[in-house]
Amino acid sequence: MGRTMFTRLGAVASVVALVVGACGGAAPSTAPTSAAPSTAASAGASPSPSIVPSTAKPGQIINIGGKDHIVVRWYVGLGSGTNPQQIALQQQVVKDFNDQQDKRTDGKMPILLSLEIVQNNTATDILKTEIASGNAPDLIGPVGIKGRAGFAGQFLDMTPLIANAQYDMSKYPQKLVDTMKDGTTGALLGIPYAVYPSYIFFNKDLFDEAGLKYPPQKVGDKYTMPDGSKVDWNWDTVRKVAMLLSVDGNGKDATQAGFDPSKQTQWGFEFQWTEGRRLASAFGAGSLVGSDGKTAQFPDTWKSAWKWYYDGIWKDHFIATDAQRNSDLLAKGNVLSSGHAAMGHMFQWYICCMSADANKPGAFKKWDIAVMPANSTGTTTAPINIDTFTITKGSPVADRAFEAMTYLVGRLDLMALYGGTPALGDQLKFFHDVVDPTFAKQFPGNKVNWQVAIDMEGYAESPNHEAEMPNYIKAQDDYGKVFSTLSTKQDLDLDKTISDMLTTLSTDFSAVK
Amino acid sequence: MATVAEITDTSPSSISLARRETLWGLVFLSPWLIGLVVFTALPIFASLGLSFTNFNILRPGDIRFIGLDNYTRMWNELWSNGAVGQSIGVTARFALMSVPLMIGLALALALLLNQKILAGKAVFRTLFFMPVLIPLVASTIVWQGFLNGSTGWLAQILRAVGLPAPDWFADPSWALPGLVFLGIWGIGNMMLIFLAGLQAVPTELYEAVKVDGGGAWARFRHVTLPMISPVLFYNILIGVIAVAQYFTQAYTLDPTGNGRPGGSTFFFNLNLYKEGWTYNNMGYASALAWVMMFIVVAAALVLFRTSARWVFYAGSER
Amino acid sequence: MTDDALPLPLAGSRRRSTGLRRAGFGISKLGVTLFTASLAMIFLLPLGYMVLTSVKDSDQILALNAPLWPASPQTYAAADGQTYQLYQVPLADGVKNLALEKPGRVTSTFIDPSTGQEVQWQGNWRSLSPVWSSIAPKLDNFATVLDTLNFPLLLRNTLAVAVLGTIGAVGSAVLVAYGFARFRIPGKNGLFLVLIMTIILPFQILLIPQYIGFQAVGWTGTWLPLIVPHFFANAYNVFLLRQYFLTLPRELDQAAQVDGASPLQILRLVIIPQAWPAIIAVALFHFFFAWNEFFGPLVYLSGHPDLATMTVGLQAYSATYAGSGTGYLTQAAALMAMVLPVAIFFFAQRAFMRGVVVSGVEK
Repeated sequence: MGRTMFTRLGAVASVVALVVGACGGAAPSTAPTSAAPSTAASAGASPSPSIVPSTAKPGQIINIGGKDHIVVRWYVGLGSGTNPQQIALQQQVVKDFNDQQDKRTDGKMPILLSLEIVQNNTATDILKTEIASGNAPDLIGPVGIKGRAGFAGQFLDMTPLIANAQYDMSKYPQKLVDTMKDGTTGALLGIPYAVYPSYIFFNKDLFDEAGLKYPPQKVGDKYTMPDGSKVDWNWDTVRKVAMLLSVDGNGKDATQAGFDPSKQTQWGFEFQWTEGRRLASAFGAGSLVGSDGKTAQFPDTWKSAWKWYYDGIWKDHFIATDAQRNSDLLAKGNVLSSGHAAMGHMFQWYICCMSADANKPGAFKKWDIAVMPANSTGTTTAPINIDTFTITKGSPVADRAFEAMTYLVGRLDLMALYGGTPALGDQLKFFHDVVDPTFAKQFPGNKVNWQVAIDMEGYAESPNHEAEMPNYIKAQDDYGKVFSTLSTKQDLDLDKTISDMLTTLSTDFSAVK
Repeated sequence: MATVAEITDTSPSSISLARRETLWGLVFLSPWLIGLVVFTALPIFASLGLSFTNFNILRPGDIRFIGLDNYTRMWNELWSNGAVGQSIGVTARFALMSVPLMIGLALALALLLNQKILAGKAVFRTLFFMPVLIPLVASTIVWQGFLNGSTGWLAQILRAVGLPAPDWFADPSWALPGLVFLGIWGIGNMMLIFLAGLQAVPTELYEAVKVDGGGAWARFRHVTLPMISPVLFYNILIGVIAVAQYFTQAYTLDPTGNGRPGGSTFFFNLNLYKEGWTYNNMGYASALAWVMMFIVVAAALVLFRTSARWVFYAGSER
Repeated sequence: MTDDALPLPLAGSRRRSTGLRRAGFGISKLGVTLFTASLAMIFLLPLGYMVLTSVKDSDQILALNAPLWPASPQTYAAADGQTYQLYQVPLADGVKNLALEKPGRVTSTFIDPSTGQEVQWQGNWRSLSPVWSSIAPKLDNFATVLDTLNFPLLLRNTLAVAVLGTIGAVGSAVLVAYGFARFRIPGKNGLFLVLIMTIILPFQILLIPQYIGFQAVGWTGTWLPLIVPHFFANAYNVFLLRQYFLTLPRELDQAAQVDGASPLQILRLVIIPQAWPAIIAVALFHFFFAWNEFFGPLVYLSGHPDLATMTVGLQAYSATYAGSGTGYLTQAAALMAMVLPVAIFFFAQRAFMRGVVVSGVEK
């Protein structure tokens, strides 16, 4: 434990010595000496069992109440878990766990779980600092594929731990287990924990106002257009309906002559907090990586997806531009909660951030969820996110971290606040018992057909939209840059933009040794 | 400069006196010298050393000496329309737009708020300084809202008077000017430094100009400007360093660090951050930092050299 | 009323004595003040946006045709327990305030609050103006912030870090700047360049080596990394004070030296009294820097919510609320965090009034 830190410090220090030596100067040992941490500065910190300093060495033994405890550090921030309610519950869960550990009688040393929560936008940097300085936490989560990708090679293969603890993996669908594997080494990085299916959100108030029928809630059901014709529920239908639901200040919709997009007040569709692959996968599963593992590709369905999105913004005006999306009217990006978007692609985790309150006079009152539309070949695909807990490679207390993790996984109240659905068990019961009550106050009398969410899990894409690719972070960045121009730049030559992007991506992919 | 007190001279001193002076000087410098050795030198030299390695923050154990590879890569990226060239372009453009504007406005504001005939100076100074007290992230968010092309106040004002309203932070050609506005909003610090500088101008000098029949401009040109030139020099150099390190505002606009829209706010330091922290190439990021250091030090040296001609130190040694 | 001419054309040329000129002076005083006031208004428009946003709620921010000032939409509670928003509806017998029950593209159903009867109205309801209350700031927002953020704790922590750091920063910077400004030291210019160089490298590069260092001495998880280094003179402050000290003529120093004063006495009795504006400026800068410093506290106090400072608390707040349609709470929180620094600045800026300077240097 301490050793790794000193090797790292040594690496940096030796470089310094090298440089100083090369400059011909005497190389004094400049490492700061002694200087015991002042107690004055931390006087305000009362030692509480649930908050153990992050400086506690992994595996450190701390004596509390005359009893030795072994420290396991839990790091939250790479995914869900940083809003005030979640923070409060996590602290409670840690306290419950530590209390339970205190009472254990099997002779094993009780665990002292310590919690470190860092806001999502800085969590990656802080964790990297800690890892680089040999001060890594033990348990990290909840975290998804994308969150893990930034830390490739840092996580432990859980297979031996699972075998040791005789944890039953057979109950998990293989498809879910596969998403837990490291794309290059095949190591199992976690057990499937929270599942976040995606589906179509729709604002019933706005459908009512337009006099339109609601979207279907079963795959294969037709949609009834205003003229009474029954059509397939596919992306083209969504486009037509969404245009009817896009309205300007004069009350004209996007299909009517004289519609003024500069005075638009309502939009028909939104991909809530999306990114390039996530959006494309809603039209069909695919991958940016060609079969040789080096050449970048862009499946035709994905091309049609980006085109649908681009035209939706600039030509048909049923999706907000970047400036509109970040306006106060659309709640600075939290579009579906603003009440000014009629439909949207939404993941289960979005329930964390559904901030609308039907008790307020201006807010919308009723919403529900519908199935994903089919693509041009009739295939329905519903992108999915799956979160897990991981254990860091250098953790000296990996087995104890695993033990703590099995406790966390069992806390369904935590799962509910994370916005996930349990990978196992009766999901519908979970929705009714745990999720519905959280909405009862916010949307009184609104009933959501959660069976749709469960059904959509069956249409999950494979490969996953966050799936492994060579040079992950760089590649993700490079297509992300291009994708973001779709909502800021009019008159884009989409075909050329995509082919340029593929050139860049091919470079990224083959840069991997 | 005729009205400025003649430059003082120190009398020749004996060797032991000079020694004593050096000794006293070192005593006064010692807090900094100790801090330099204990806190600053190690990280700085470490970063220089790391710039010749492939140091990856997640794999510190694999560290290897790779000579000038990082610098070669940078050189290539500078010419191949890569991230380095792009980010230097953005930074330079921003520096040219914002530094002169900020310094000019801060000085004008300081002069205005130092007027005897201005009522309520305390209130005005506080009002103009206030934006500095808002954390950068928060003030960037405020400006995002204020400049928003569809519901922002500025857009509404512009439209009300019949002018086209740009999308500012969503439009590649308007994003940088938007950040210039945000920068001007934070000129309170510079203004305060100028205000402090103005307090050191002896009033007798103004009287002297008046006796010579000089007007307001003469007073400014021949008394104020030379007398505050040391703090003006400070503001210019610190302004340049601030642009070289420009980060928080651009990062708040685009938390992915890609300088959206369309890379128009992709500052040098954003590229450095991406390389070091997102792609984990801390070795390469260190090389970037040292090249930036080199550029800024070169600029500082030029400034120092020319300063002999336009900065007037009433208390200088010579 | 002394007339020390000031170097701005705006001040105009003024002469004492005649009543006429006195009136002119009064007018130019009014003019300058009005000019400054209008400048301040333009300058502070974004702040106005921030303040007004902080006292609104989502009802108004997300609404169409809402007034600029904080207000509440007027509603009508119908018999069925629902509340509906009131709109100004043009009817045959004049404009009436009706509650919008069922909006529609062609026909909308309204309720007349006076009768409780439904009224069908043909037209585009989006073009109707909603009925808003008079000014009604949502001061509850501040209470909500107080409830969710542990403000007293954050305030205590931030004050402790900022005050301790300021003492160290100012004290050390005065000493070092004096050394740079007034003493002949071989290689001084080189040292000064090194001083400048220490602030050029961005923190992103220095963070890991620094963290490793502080980790090695066990300072992570304490305030020490945020306070102790400031006792060893920060280049920004030293540079500023040195520049300022260099504007002070040497005659007084030399006079004191002739009287047998030691360098320390000269600093205390001659330099510091002349340099108060700059010293106050440095103190303010450091205090505000510490107040708004973000990454340092974030990294070194990670996992210690009990030690966290204001900006870290605020960030947790804005990360949660900025994008969630409740951004007005973020603005409210940022405003609350500003109150103390603004007050401090208001009182401290007196140091920048003329007359503090010992300006007895005649030729």
